[in-house]
Amino acid sequence: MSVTNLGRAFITNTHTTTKMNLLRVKRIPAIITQRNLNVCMSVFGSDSQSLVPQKPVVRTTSTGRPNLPPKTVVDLRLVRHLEKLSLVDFGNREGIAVLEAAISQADQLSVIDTEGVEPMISVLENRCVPLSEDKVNEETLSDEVLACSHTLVDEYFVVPPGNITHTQEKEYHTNLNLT
Amino acid sequence: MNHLMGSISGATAHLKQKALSSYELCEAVIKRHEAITKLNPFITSTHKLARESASRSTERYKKGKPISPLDGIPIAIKDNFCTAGIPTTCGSKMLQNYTPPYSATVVQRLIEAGAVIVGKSNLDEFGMGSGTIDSTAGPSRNIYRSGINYKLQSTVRYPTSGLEDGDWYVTGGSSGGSAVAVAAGAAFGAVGSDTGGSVRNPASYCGVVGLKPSYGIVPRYGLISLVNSMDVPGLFGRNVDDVATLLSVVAGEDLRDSTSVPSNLQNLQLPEVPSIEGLVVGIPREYHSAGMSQEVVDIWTKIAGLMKEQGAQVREVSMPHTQYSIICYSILNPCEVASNFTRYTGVEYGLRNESGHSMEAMYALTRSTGLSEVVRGRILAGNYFLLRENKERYFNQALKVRRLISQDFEQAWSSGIDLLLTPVTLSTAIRYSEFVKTDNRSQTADQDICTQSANMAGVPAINVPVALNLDGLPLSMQLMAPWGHDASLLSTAKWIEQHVNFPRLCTIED
Repeated sequence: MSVTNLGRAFITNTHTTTKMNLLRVKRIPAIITQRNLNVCMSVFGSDSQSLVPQKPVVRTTSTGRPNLPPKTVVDLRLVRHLEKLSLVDFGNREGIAVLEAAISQADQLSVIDTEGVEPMISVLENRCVPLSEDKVNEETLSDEVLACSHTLVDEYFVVPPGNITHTQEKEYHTNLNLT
Repeated sequence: MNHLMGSISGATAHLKQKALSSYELCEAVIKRHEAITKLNPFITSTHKLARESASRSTERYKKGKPISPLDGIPIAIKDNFCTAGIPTTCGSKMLQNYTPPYSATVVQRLIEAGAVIVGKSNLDEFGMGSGTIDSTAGPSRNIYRSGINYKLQSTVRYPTSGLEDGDWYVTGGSSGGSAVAVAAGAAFGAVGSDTGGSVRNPASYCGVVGLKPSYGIVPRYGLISLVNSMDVPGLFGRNVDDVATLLSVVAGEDLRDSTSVPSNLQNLQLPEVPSIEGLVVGIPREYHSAGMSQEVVDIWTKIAGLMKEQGAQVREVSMPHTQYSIICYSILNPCEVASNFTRYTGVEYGLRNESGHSMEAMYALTRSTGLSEVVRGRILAGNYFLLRENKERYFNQALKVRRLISQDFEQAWSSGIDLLLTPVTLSTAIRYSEFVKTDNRSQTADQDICTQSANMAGVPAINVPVALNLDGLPLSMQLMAPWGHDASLLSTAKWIEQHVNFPRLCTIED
C-alpha cells in the first residue's frame, strides 16, 4: 500500500466486532484525491488482476452485419397492420425508427444455434406450482369492480358500437413518409 | 433527526424502549418528505393513512405488543403495486384516476405486520425505463450531489455539494422513487419491482441495498404486470439485515398467484457474523462488457481480491450467452407487454377517450392518449415479433436463447460455484443531461446488461453498495445465487457490507 505525504488512511468499521484483516493506519482527515482514494480502496485487499478480466470480453464485432439478415424496412403496409393489431399508433417517424432499431437488435439472435433447444416458457418449469381447488374463496366484489369504471349503465360496462374498423386520418399516414 | 438514517432494528429498539413513539417516527419521516420534495420520490403521499397506522402502532407498543419487527416502520411502495383506496397510477396517464379496490399481497402482508405506508413512489411509466425519468409525475432525482445538504460517515471528505450547472444525477430505474426514498431517510424500507434490473439499478445509483428475490417466492398478486415470466417484487433497505426482515414478511405462497411457490423464509434470520470461508465465488468474465467504467472494474477487482483473502475460493467462469441476454429481453419483454397491455381499453378502468364513435376507435384513441411513446413502442415491437411470419424467428428463438442463458447459470452452479460476483451498472449514476441524450429503448439496452440475466433465469440477485468514487457517487457490487438460495445470498451480501465500510449518508438537514 502506498503512503501519501499526508499520512495514511484510518478507517474503522462501526458495524461489527469481528476482527478484520483491514489495513489500518493513522491519518489526519484530508480531501479525497486519487492517491488517497487508492489508499482507501487498497484496504479491500491486494490487487488480484487475474481474477477479474481487465478488458471487455467481446465475442463478436458490432460493426457490420455479417451473417445477419438484411435490415428490415418498415413500410406503410406493415405500419397499418401493426397499428390495427396493437390499437396504438406509431405517432411519428421516430416511432418507426424505434421499431426498426428494435428489429435490427433482435436480428442478432439469429446467429445463435438453437438446434435441439426447447423453448423456456417459465423458470419454474421443474417445480410443482400449486393448483387451486375449484372453489369460490372470494366474496362478490361487483360494486368495487364497477366503481372503477366511469361509464356504466346499471351493472353493465358500456362501449360504443363494434364491428366498425377504425381508420386513421389520411394525413397521419402521409406524414409518416413511408413507401 | 438521526434516527431516520438508522436501521429498522435500531428504530424498533427505540420504539420498544419508548425513546420515541411510532407516531413521532412517522411525523419525522413526513417532515423529511418536505425537506426532499425536489427529489420527487413520491407520486402520492399517504400521510393521513400513515398517521392513522402509526397511531395504532403506538397503542400496540404502549401495551408492549408490537406485531412484528416491522411494526411502526415507515415503508414506501412503488406505484405499480395496487393499494386499496389509494391511487395507483404506474406513472401513466392511463391509470392517473385509477384507485384499486384491492391491495397487492406484498402490501397486505406489510400492513398486517404493522408497517406504516408513507407513500407511493415514482417510477418510469409502467416500469419501462432505467432512469425514473419517464413518468407523468416528472423525474426523480438522486440525493447524491443534489444540492440538499448531507453528511457522510467517513473520515475522508467526499464532494457532497450540488452540481454547479444545476444538473443532477438520475436515480436509476425503474424503481427510482423507492430507492431514493430509502437513501434519503424518507422511508426505512421500500418495495419495488425488478423485471430487467429495476430494483438493482436504482439501488446501485442511490447507494442502497436492493434485492431481487428468486422468481416465485414473493407473490406478484396486485403487482401490475409488465412481463409475467420475469417480474419480481423487490426490496430496498439501507442495510442487508433490513432487507432480510422485509423479505421474511412478504415471502411465501399466495394461491391467487399461480406462479408463486412455497417458501420457508418467514423465519429468516441472518447470522450476526457471516463467514465466507470455503465459499466458491465465480467471476463471470463476460460481465465485463464494453462501456464499463474503469472504476467499476477496479472495485470489482478489489472486492474479488478481498473475498479471496478472507477465505473464499474465487475463480473465473464463462457464461457464454451473457451478451445475448439483453437482446433476448428486448424481444420477450415487448411480446409479453403486447399481450398484457390489451387490458388497457378504458372500459373497466383507467382513462377513457370518448371521441371515437366505434369501439375500436375508442380503444385506439384511449390507448394513444393514455400510453406514452415508450409504452406504445413496446406494444408495436411485441406485435411485430408475434406476427405469424415472425414468431418462429423472433419469439420462439428468444425462448430458446432464454433456456441457453438459464443453462449458463446451471452449468456455473454444477461446476461447484456457490455465488456469482459481478458489477451492477456500467458506471456510477449518470447526469440527467447525459441520460436524456439516448432514447429510452437504447438506454435500457445499454444499462441492463449486468442485471438482466438474473431475470431471464429467475435467480436471486442483490445490489450491495461498497464505496464512493471521486465525485462522491456510490459504487456497488452484485451477487447472484441459485434459485431459492436467497438466505445464503443475503448472508454473503451482509459479509461484504461488514467488510467494506461504505461511507453511509448519516444526516440530512431537515
